[in-house]
Amino acid sequence: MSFWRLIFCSARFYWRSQLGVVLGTAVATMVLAGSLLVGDSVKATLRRQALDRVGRVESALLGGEGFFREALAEEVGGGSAPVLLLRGSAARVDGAARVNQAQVLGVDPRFWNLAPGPSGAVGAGVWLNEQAAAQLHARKGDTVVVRVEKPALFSRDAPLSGEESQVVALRLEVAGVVGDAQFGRFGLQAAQVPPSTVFVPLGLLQERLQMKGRANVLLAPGMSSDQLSRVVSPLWQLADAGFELRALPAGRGTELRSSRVFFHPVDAGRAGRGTDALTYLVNEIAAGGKTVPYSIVSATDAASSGFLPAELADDEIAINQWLAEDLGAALGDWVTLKYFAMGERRELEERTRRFRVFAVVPMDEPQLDGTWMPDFPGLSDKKSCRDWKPGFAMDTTRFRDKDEQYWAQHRGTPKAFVNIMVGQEMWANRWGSLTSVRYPGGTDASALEAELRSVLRPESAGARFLAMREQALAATRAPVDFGELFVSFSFFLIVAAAVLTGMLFVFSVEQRRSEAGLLLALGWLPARVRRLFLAEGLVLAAAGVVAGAAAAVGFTRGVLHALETVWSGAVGSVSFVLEVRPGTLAAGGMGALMLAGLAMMLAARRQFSVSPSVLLSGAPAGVVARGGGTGRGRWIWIAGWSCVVGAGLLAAADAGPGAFFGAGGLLLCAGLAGCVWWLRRTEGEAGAGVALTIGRLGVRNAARRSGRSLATVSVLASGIFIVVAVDSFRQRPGEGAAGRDSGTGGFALVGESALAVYEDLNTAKGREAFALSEEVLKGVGFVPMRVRDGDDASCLNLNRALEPRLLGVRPSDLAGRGAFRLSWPGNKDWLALDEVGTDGAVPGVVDEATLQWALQKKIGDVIEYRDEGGKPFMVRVAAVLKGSMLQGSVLVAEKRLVERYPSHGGYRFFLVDVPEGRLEAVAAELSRALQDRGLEVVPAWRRLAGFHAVENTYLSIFQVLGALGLVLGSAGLAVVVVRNMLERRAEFALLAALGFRPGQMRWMAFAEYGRLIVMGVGIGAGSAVLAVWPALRERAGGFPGLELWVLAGVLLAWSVFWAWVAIRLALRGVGVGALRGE
Amino acid sequence: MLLQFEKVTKRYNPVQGGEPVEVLRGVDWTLDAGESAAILGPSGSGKSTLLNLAGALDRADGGVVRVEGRDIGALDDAGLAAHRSRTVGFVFQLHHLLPQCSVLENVLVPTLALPGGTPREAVGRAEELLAAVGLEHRRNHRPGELSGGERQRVAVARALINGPRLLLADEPTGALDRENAARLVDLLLELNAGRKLGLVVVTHALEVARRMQRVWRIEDGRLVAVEPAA
Repeated sequence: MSFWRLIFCSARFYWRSQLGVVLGTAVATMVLAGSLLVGDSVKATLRRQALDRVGRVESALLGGEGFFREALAEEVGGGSAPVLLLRGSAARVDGAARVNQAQVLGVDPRFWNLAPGPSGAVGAGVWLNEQAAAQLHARKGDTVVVRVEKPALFSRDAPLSGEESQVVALRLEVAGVVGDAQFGRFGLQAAQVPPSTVFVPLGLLQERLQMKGRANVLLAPGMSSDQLSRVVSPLWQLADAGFELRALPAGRGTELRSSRVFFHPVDAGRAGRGTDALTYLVNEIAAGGKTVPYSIVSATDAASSGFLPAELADDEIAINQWLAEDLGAALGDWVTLKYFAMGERRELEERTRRFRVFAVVPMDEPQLDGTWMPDFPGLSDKKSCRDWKPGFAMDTTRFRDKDEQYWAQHRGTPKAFVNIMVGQEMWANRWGSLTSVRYPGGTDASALEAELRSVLRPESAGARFLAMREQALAATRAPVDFGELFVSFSFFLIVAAAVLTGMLFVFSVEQRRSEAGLLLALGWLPARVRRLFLAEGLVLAAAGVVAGAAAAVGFTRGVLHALETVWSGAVGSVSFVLEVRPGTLAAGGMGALMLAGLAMMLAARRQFSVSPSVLLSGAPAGVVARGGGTGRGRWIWIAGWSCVVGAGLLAAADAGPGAFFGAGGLLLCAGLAGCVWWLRRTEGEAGAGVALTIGRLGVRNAARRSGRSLATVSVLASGIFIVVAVDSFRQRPGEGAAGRDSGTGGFALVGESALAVYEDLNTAKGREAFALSEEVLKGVGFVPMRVRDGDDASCLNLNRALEPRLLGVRPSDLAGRGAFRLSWPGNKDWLALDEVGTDGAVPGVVDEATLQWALQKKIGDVIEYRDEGGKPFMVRVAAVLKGSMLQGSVLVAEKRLVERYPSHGGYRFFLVDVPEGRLEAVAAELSRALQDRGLEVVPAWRRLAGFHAVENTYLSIFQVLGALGLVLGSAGLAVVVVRNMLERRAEFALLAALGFRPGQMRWMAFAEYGRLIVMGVGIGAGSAVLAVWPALRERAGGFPGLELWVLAGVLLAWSVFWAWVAIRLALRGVGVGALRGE
Repeated sequence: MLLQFEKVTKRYNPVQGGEPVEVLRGVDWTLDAGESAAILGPSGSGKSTLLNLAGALDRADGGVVRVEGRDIGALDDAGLAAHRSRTVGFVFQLHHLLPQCSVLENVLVPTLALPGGTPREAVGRAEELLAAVGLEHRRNHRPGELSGGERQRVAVARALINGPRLLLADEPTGALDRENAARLVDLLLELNAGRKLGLVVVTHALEVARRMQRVWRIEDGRLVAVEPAA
């Protein structure tokens, strides 16, 4: 015989009466372990998605705004694949469905070889991923129209970037749909919902976009990003960086040009001993009252040019003979140049500068030719200068015949030259300060190229090496741990299970009080007896853990199914993987076991505090005199009233929903303290002259077992409080969304386009470019924002946002409107967004929820980014937006964004002010007119509601799990009722013997429990009303919350039902026979 | 002197308050080793209270209870437990056997309270005791498989397993028929004589009381000696 043998014998013998412990622990284990398994499953799902997204790709080279040679993939080897990755839109040919934000990938078999699974079925032709196929309702054989922007090597924001339509439409027949295993999830950003992707044969896309042999993404398997960088660097050619060495005519030398037209000296370095040149189109050259329209002027280093006078000063100009004759200008005359300088948002500002004629270059000067002019889009390829489309409004009527003749004969031959420094002062821009570097004749082109290649780096061309797999896996470390989240959501359910476990354990122990008395009488210490019973309980709880662990898998499966269906608002369309980790099950089971042990220990702590003789007598617990009643009663009274006062103070402070929730919580505590006081008072009324009725007898019975009664009231009240009060945090779609300080910023519409919009839609010219109706758009205002793609850091993305999307906004656009609720320390406003910190960090504004949950940062923290040249820079979180629809992005000043990403062009995010009543008409007009740009317009309140839906879904989950806890609490109530009734069968038998009718006895029992139920529901609902008061007050349309009262009513009815069922069952067949046990 | 009561008082407080009820009022009483005594008295007179005080199941409100010269009122919880474990053996009206344990295990239960748990030799001793009470053939049975008399004899064996000097029996025959009651009393007296145990039996039954060396009656909270012939 040993202590443990006795425990196991007892556990085996009493397992029926301890079944409640087993079940209670099983429920706690099921919920706890199940919740943790939800966390594991979400992690596993994100991991699977990440691996599906990257396939066999380890690292990637991203071209940024540039395009490198497709052949680079071949040179890198190891199964690398070139990809042309573009944004675009896709639509069914009948226009019945469209995808505005599509990812268009030009791929070849090398790409499919990197798929996570077998992709043998994927062949040539156009393929859609499942997301795109679902949105387009497209199947094999259907025709879709894909629109992509012809990639611009030269930023369309830049001056002289041309203005021809750059959208290319491809009419394609769908060859099939690729699944996740076949690389359908491929994308650069981590998100649980993959982008809608159209896979187009690489050759076809290159051909249609006139990008033959070009790619902008290189995917490398089996190579880290560092390794890839080391492999690529020596292979990186001038062409990969968009440079070209051209031989000048007649062996006059060699010229370095960029396909991006403008470039910075740092890009090319000063590797060669070349002469810098910056060539520009000026609007007018005037002298002596005569003008020449639209002429090419070059700036170069006169001293090293070989044909310009070395002593050319900064205020002097050398003009060619043709111009001198046309203007009648002679040496020493003054000429004026008029030219456009680029402002923000492609705003052109015409400026003038005067120069004195220092030299006239004869037209037969060998260096004077058209090679000075770079390939300005819209100019270089035009036969007539009247056909020029340089990208700004040009008055072609000003061209004279002699201008046409000059163009026909001399093409882009500069009409004038100024010093390079002066030229750069006038025309340098964020894209560069040079258009060419010219090398003298006799330069060894091969040596020059080698020299240039040695200083050119992929990063300096805006390319970037991405540790794709590593980052994909890093992103799966979700900012919100779903395991912890569901454990906290299930808190009440777990507590209810623990309370039930403790209560049922005590019932069992109470049945065996004489056994405890015997052991004490035999010399056992009370602590040892307690340990014996507790150990026995734990042995049975362990059995519950085993059962609960099995049920936990079912619980997890159920939760995941709910997240895929009814709770999909929280996570989007995700197909979850069930991940059952034994370690997690064990941890959950251990936690539940400890919780059950604690509950049993607390519940049974006073079970053996009476003398062994009392225990041996078999007298039921709770019928012996208590000590210190008066003192404890006073403390209960003080605690109760303190809670009432605290609740009043908090409510009076009116510090928002949180304070009211706290006040409600205190009132709940006060109510429960009041309940204790009432039970004690009722207990003491025997013999105090209170008239005895059947109902009163029942009420007095409730006081007999005050611990059980209090547990019943507490579980009901707490459950109702939690379920109802949490409702106060629920967001109502559209409520108060019109104000400037609301989450919509007072904007009516939000638009996002797949392709950039370069035109200013606030201007007549911009609207005209898209044939937008002035009548419909009357009074409509736009706040355009630049978008630097990055991770979605909103609550809609379960992945960790490593580099959140940047939105570049002109601060005055929002400051002028007073838009959004901005919380900026020091009471600064939007205008402060333009200020750069002393450490060079760019100030950024982030939505509060994004900052707290997705980024897990606070004001003052920094987020690291890399600029276009690959240099790191910091965005410091300077302010937060309260509850805004701009979740998921970091807002910075537009000026700061283009400084870091100079090649970036156009706007893709729009906030739209719309006069009242014209929302739908404006939305329809914008959608129609900007269809080619893939503009998707939604009402701002709906976008906000989308974010609120996530929050509301989480609240719903909490409420459902809380309600389940309440159901468990009600079951506990039923058990208490049955238990009490069974204990008192002899009493009821006596009443029966005394002539009581069954109905009277049921009524007496019900008076006991009905009072407890009413108290529980009343205390819970009353304190919940205080907690939800701000929400009730803010809602328009009278006293709302019907659902709140319906909920309370249902819970009340549910509890009454269980109590009634339990009473009927327990009192069935009560007769005089039960007296024999007396 | 094995057991000594000096002016011992005991009161009970009613659950709902009111005047305490004094059941023992200055009891003076002694019992020597090897002596047997019966306590008679009507229900509620304090017989079991007296026994509980002797066995340290309760504490006196006044006076001193000494066992082997030691004031058990001065003992702490551990001391009381040790006293109950080693010095006293109890037999109750209801046997209070653990239904989850076999007969042998029930006899061994008190040994679990000893420091270090059940000693190896305890099993042999339990078997001897079972043989002494005539139940060696039932050692592996459960209490539910025994008759009332047999259960009570197991309870006696259990009371003796730790070798107590004082055996306290509270209405030991109350739940037994006449024949079984007689056999149990025989057993108790045999043990009393053979092991030099002090034996105190609380009973309503005069025929049981008459077989003890000394008989006492509780009257109005005090012990009154009764002549053996009574």
